[in-house]
Amino acid sequence: MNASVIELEGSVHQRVQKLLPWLAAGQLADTEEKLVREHVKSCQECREDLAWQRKLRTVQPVAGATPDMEGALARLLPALESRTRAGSSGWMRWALAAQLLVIAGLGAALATQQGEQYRLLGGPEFERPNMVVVFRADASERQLRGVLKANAATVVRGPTATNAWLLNVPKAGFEQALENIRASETVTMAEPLNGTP
Amino acid sequence: MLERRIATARRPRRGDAAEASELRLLALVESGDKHALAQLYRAYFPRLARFLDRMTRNAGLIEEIINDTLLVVWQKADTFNHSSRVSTWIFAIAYRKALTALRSLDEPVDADPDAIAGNDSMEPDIVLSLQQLQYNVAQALDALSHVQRTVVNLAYYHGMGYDEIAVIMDCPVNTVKTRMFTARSRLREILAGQMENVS
Repeated sequence: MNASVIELEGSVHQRVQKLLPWLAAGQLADTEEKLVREHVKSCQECREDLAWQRKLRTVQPVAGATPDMEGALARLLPALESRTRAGSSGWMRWALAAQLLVIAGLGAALATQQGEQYRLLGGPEFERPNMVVVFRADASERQLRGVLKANAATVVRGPTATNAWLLNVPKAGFEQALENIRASETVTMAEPLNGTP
Repeated sequence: MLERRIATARRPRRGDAAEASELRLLALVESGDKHALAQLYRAYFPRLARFLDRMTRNAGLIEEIINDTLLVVWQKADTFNHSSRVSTWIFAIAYRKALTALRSLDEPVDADPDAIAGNDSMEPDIVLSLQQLQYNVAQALDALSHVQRTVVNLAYYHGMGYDEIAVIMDCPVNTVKTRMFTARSRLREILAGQMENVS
């Protein structure tokens, strides 16, 4: 019994030891951060280790000669060939991603949208994302759906690694939709993805 | 004094607004906007130069790797699939470009782990200036294997999570954690007694 407790504590210590650098860097997920902070409270070794790592992080290692940025950019620019908008490969990827997302959420949507007419995916209505939106962490699926419907927006992809959603909003009324979405209390950020929608 | 100067070197974390701005720039790059590419270039040049400086001291090579990286961003912006941050994607390209460049030039990517032993300037009990300490930290990092050094560099000095580093280095998350654990044990040995004046 004691042996298993010791082993368990040992494994937590080892796990925390491997996570300490990212606590020092403020890069742990909530659950891991809680685990590490709890352990550190009662572990002198980890406390000292954490303090040492925090000190090390504040010392930027001396750097060598930095190349001239503007000169380097000037040398790169001629190598950029003119391009038109991305071709079909980009479109296909967005279309597939959107289809996967919609399939995943279809069950919930069906339950609440009985009687409504569904738009087909992959048809001429499907567009590229033209707005990036971050919803509040506590926003419900219903609130999210409400914002989308009120602005005729469709989800193209999301959530991204930073919990953003890529939306397509009809070109007609884009600016008004952007203003509405920004004003929504469930939205923390909304930005157009291109200069023009 | 030393503490105050060091404290100003701390880097703020990058938030959602910065990521959204980069997503917007990338979308413009994808549509062929060279000005957007130049904006992205200027935003990433200092970070990539700092990252690559720990892999090679050749300024010309650093410039070449950064330009190759942003050329890929220009050509392949439509392949960015949003499964990671924009920064993770760009750093991953830069890391691969750097490995290819170093191998093609036959430059060593692994330092001799014992090369730093016997360096008098690394002895403890010496009152270190910030500049000397920064030099010693750089020397200590150079004593690590290149994969360990890259993990330490990305975690401590670029604020990357272990999952982001795993994407950049194309290896399992546990490998990243183990490399970091080994690296920092080695760094503590090398830098023993040198961090007392830092707060």
